[in-house]
Amino acid sequence: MGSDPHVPYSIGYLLGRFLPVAASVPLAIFVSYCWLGFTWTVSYFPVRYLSGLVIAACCSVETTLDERSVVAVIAFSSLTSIALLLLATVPPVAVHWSVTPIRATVAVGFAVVATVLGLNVAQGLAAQPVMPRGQDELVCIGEAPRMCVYPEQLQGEDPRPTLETAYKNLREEGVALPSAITTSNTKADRSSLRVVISTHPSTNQLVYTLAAALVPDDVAPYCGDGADYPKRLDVAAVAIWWLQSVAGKGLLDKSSIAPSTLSPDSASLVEGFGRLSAQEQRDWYFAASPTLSHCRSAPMEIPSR
Amino acid sequence: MKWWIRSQHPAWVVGTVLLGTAVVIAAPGSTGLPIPSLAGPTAFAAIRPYALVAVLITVAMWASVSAGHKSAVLSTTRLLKFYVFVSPCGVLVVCGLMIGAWAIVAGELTTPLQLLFRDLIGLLGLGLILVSFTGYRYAGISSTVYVFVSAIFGRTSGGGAYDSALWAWPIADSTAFDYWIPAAALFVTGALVWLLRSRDHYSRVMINQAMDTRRE
Repeated sequence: MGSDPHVPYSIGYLLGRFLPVAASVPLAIFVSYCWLGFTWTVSYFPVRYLSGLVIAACCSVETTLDERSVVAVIAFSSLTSIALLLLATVPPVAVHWSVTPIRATVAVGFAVVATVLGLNVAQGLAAQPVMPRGQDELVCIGEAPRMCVYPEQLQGEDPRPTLETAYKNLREEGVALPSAITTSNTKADRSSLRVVISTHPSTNQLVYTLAAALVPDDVAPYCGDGADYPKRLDVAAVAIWWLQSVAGKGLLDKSSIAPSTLSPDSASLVEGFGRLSAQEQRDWYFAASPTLSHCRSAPMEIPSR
Repeated sequence: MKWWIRSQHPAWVVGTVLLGTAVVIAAPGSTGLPIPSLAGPTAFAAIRPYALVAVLITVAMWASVSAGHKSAVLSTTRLLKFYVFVSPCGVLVVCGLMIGAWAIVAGELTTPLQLLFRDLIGLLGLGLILVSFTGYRYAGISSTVYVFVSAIFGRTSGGGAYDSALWAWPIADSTAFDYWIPAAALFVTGALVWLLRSRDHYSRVMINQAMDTRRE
């Protein structure tokens, strides 16, 4: 799961020293899971890195692990384990109770230093400990579009012919496109379409990622009090479906394109929209596409038949 | 020879039941401990307080009985076996009284309390079955592991994020009768296994004692 086992081990050792076996073993399991779950519930992200569970979110091909997440969990776990073991080495009550002030102070001191150090190292990390992978490892071919992928993405079937066909389908339909396609999970820019490709992608996934790269990263703008936000999400869902259906010409059966799940109404809206003629759909997309990225105009009505 | 046995610190068990029930009553409905969910529609799903409290009560009870048994290891008698079986029933009675008291005070029976009672029935039954074969120390572990395994693998992909498979009844947030069936079945099975096993064990003890007497 990506979490460091030192703290659960130490908790188990401490409980085993002072509680009967029938209680200490299940409680060690219980407390360890509660610790993992508790860190996950905290909105202050550095706390999540103390247990290390969040490292499980790493990594897709186009991302790499931020090493601060590993340092944070190792620093916290090591020092906290020392604190717990210091308390565990106290003889049991029945023998000789000897939690001296010095021992208690040292144990608490280790725990405090562990927490401060762990939080300090993890400071600035986002919800996931990933960062973009270096661009120098990309393998690029072609011109207009120039397609750049990582070597691992070429292990299965080469995704670039499918991407090229989908790209040309969109361009023939009049959709404005950058001259390059790059595999990356960073924010889109005008110089390149940023696509996310798994190691063995299906045609459907490739078409979807290319279509989704043409809508803004936040999918739909949140304008004012957000009253029209659901409607803007619906527009984005239908726009993505249209882009998929155009990009997938000759690659996919139109019925196999699942509507985006941006809103609960997506499926019915797409179904009605899909009955329009090709020209009507195209006209709607070009009228609606400016509203996908800014709040200056109201969201377009979605026609259906 | 001692002809009775007591669990160590039974007040702690009763206290855990009372405090646990109070926590379940007081906890807001949305409270939960997120656990990775490998089977459900979401990557994480929460275990609600009633399931966590049920685990703690079960662990406290088996630890108490285990400690009591250990202190009188030579008095393996029918009374000991009877006492051990009575302990789960005692926990259920105390919890039931708390639930009844709350129903009288608040005028309604809250869903989490019903779910706590269901989980206690099932987890104590599971412990009773295991105690008969493996001894006391694994009874508390079984309930802990079963709840967490249910949370990780027991969510179903259809429907809501917190729907559960029938076998994952400890984390089912529904009071549907279906989820009571496996819990009740476990308790009945546990009680039967316990009584049958202890009767056999008691018979063996009596035969051994008779043979020892004859040898003397």
